Amino acid sequence: MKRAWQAALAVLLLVFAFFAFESLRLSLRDALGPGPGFFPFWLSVAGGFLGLVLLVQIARGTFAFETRNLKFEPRPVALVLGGLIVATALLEAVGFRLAMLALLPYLLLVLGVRNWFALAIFSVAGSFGVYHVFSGLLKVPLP
Amino acid sequence: MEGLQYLVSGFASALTPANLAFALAGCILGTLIGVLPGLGPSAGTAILIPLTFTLDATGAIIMLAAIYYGAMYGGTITSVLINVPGEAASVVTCLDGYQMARQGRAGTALGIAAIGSFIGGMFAALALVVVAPPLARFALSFGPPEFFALMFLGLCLVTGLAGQSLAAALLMTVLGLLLALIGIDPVRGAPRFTFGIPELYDGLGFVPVVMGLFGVAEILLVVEAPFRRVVETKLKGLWPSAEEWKRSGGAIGRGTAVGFLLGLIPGVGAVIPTFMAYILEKRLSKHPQKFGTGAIEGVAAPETANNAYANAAMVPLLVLGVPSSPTIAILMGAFIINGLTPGPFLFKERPDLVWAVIASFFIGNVILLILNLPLVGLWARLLRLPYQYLCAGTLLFCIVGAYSLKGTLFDVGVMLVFGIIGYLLRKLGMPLAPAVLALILGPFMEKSLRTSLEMSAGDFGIFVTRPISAALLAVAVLILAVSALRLAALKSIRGGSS
Repeated sequence: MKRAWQAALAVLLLVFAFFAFESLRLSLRDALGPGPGFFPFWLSVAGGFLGLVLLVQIARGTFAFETRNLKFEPRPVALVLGGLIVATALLEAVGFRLAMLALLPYLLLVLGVRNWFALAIFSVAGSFGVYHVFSGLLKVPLP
Repeated sequence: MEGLQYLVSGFASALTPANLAFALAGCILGTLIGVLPGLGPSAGTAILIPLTFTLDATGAIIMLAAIYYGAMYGGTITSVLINVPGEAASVVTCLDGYQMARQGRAGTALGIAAIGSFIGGMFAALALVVVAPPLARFALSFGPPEFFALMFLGLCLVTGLAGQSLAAALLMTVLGLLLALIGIDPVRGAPRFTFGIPELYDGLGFVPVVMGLFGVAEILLVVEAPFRRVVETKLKGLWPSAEEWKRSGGAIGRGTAVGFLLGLIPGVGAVIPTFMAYILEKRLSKHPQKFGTGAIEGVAAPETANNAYANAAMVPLLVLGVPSSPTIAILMGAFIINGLTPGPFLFKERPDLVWAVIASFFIGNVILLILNLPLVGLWARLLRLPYQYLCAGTLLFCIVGAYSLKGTLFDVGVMLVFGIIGYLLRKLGMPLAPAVLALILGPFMEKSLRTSLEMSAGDFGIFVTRPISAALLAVAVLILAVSALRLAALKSIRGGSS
């Protein structure tokens, strides 16, 4: 847990450093008063300070970790995320219906569904059915 | 009682067949979200926003508000039947609700929860009618310094109550504020932190970010650790006995007062009123030892407080433009998508919409009572839905919602990125609520701050020389100080006991 927090805080410190650097490139102050960089610069400084405070607390062992289960199960998470990323990449190329017709049975299979009839019904309803409802009835444009 | 006059015209609008249908659909969808474990009110409300894209603003807000309070009630059903709260506010209901179910009194527990929620919700909505107009009139005198101080106070309240580390909660607030500043600078028109990507000129879309942080992240956590199967419970005898009524009456009254009063304070969140109502009942009870073993007051008080809070929490949003919780922040996002900015000016500029939405709270409470007394068995059966279909369906709606907002793949990408970020942050136990509230309040806060400093030619004294702004800032600082002391005391107690 300690390592995970330290890694997360290191990333956040980099994010705050980026925002601070970019804010300085914008003006902090102009003729009318505070410039576009004013608020983000001081926020970045505050964020950096808080990040350092937390790092010191963790190093001194005074930080109260609010532990959720930090045990990772990378396989199902990676498979679901991978499917989502591929489907998103295909969304405009093959259209919503075909992308979802591929994604939904993939997700159900990854999650352990082996009832082929239910899987087929859900996939068709979730792709063609949802497309019909949103694009046809609700006039929400989908690719 | 000018509020009542406006309310009558609000009812005329809310009772049109279309708006009634939107309220009904919202209550059904909201209850569904609350009932299905793994999908909280925030994620549910966010992924259902696209359903309202083609509706007029009044219909859209009525439907989303109904989804919100429907979800707040729906969580009760899982708390009682399977000891798994559908949303955080229902945690305390598990203590006695599940024990009642084990004793074969699940029907009575759900019955008193529905009745208590109805009474609490109706009283809170009525009190809103009385409180909102004078408060909105008072808030009309606010200038940019007062609005900045008010939003700062709202953020401090949420931050002070989030998690076990004040520094971590403040860090998440700062991160949310910074992310909110991506896009065109609202005062000078300069692009900021956009990497030259045109899609970022409008800023990060609030809906894709929230869908990612709550919807996608939630599903990734569920996929990792699927929730348990549902236990079989028979539902009978929804109506409480005379003795149970006697024991619940006071609890419902006190729960209403606790829920409403705490709902008025921005940032309190739904968990605190339910716990406070429960603790109050336990303290006042002649048989406190019965709490935790199936005491009906232990269900009536928190459930009443929960719904009274849900209705009262609309006051800070509608009157001051300050959301009390992540779900209310999502509702605020829906207002903004519809071209409306919640706050005192909304009462002046769009009274038709505001009062139709307030009238819909009364209608929604009646619909929820009907849905949750005779149809409770139907909701209980939905608990048997395999989680795999729920996960796949939620992700499908997330993709539809993120894409349909602007019709670009970019927003779907934003949602996925924030899904991963939300998953990691939640694994670490970092509080997300301050970040979400900061994300929605960020642009308004910056604009108020910079306008104030322009008014004073760069002198920060403007925030302390104006009495309202100074008072709000003093309260904000006090809250942060009290939170820090509370957490330090907790730490020393833990240190002493270990």
